[in-house]
Amino acid sequence: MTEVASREQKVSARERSSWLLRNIRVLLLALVLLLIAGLLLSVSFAAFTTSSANADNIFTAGSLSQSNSAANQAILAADNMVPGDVVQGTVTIRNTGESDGAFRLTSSTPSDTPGPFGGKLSTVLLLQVVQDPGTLDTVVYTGGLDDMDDPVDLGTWAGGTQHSFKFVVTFPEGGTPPSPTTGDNAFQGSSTTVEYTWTATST
Amino acid sequence: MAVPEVGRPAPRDEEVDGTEPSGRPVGPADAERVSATERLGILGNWRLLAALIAGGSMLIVVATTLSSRAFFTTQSTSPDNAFHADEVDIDVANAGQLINGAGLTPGVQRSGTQTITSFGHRARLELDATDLVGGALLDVLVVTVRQTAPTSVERYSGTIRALRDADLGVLQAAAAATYTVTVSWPADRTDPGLAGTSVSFDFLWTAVSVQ
Repeated sequence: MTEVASREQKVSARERSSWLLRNIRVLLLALVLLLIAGLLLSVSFAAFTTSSANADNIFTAGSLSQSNSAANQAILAADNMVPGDVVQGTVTIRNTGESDGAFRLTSSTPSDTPGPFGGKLSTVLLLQVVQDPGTLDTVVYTGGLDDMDDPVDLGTWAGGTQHSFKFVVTFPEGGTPPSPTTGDNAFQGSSTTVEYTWTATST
Repeated sequence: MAVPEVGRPAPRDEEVDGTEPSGRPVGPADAERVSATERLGILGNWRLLAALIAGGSMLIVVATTLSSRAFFTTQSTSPDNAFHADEVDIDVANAGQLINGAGLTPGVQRSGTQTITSFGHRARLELDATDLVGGALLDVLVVTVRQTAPTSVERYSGTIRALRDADLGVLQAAAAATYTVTVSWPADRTDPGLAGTSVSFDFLWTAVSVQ
């Protein structure tokens, strides 16, 4: 009789271990839920309390906004460009909010319409962006019109401050074309359009 | 001393002498319990398991807090920055032979007229003598290019061989200019060696865009 009970106990212990192994995920989940529940309970339980008030603590969310002198319009545009032409335009961006903002400039991928000889104008035009022309004259970007792949960091501006930017686009002279359809001639009749976006993030 | 069964872990010390530290006799059930705990491995260490769960929960809370940071943002766009390259295109009124130079002798000159019309960007006109074939006569015959309209002005005077990128003036968009081209054999160039020789060449009219 005692041997039978011992065997039953042995079987029972084995089964328990096996059951534990099989259901270990359920057990872990239950433990996590219990832990979270415990945390919530510890937060929500209160016994004796006393309090004193510091009234009229007013919190106002800072604001971040901007004005763009060329909002929803082109900063610069040029018709009938030929090699050697340089065009420029200026835009002023102002942090009209109260918060400091980290400003950056991004360019869309230029939309090209090749000319009859197949050249894409965005691949030959050069762009230079100068921040605060005439004062600081900081060149924040120089490169191909189609090469502004990464956002250009313009720094952190305090609320109420503004900066102007001069965009200069150059159609460089590539020398005498070797044929009527190659060299700079490949770009005859082509056009390209690009969009610039100014983004500010509160800091 | 208990002898471990095949396939079972060795008994712990308290099982070896058949008693627990408390003095309670160690039975087969205790041996089975120990065996199950060992089979659970790290999962059998409940303190360690609880510590891991607590640590994991804290990591989740921290990660959630960090990933939920919010910023104010604002954005504006400046679209439609458009650039267009112009074209340079000219038309020549006389695309064939401009001057008939057959039977030239010293003191003789022949002329032809050409009108160039621009259909594209403002351009500077240039004239070249290309595909030159011949000998000394290329350095004897003199070419004179005179613009006759809209203004009258001589644009070039020199030998055929020296006719390279001759500046014929600037042609405005949608404008035309007329030129009289004259080839003459100077009367004083009477070298008998030139008799019976011939030359040929092309007049090449080129428009180069100007800003």
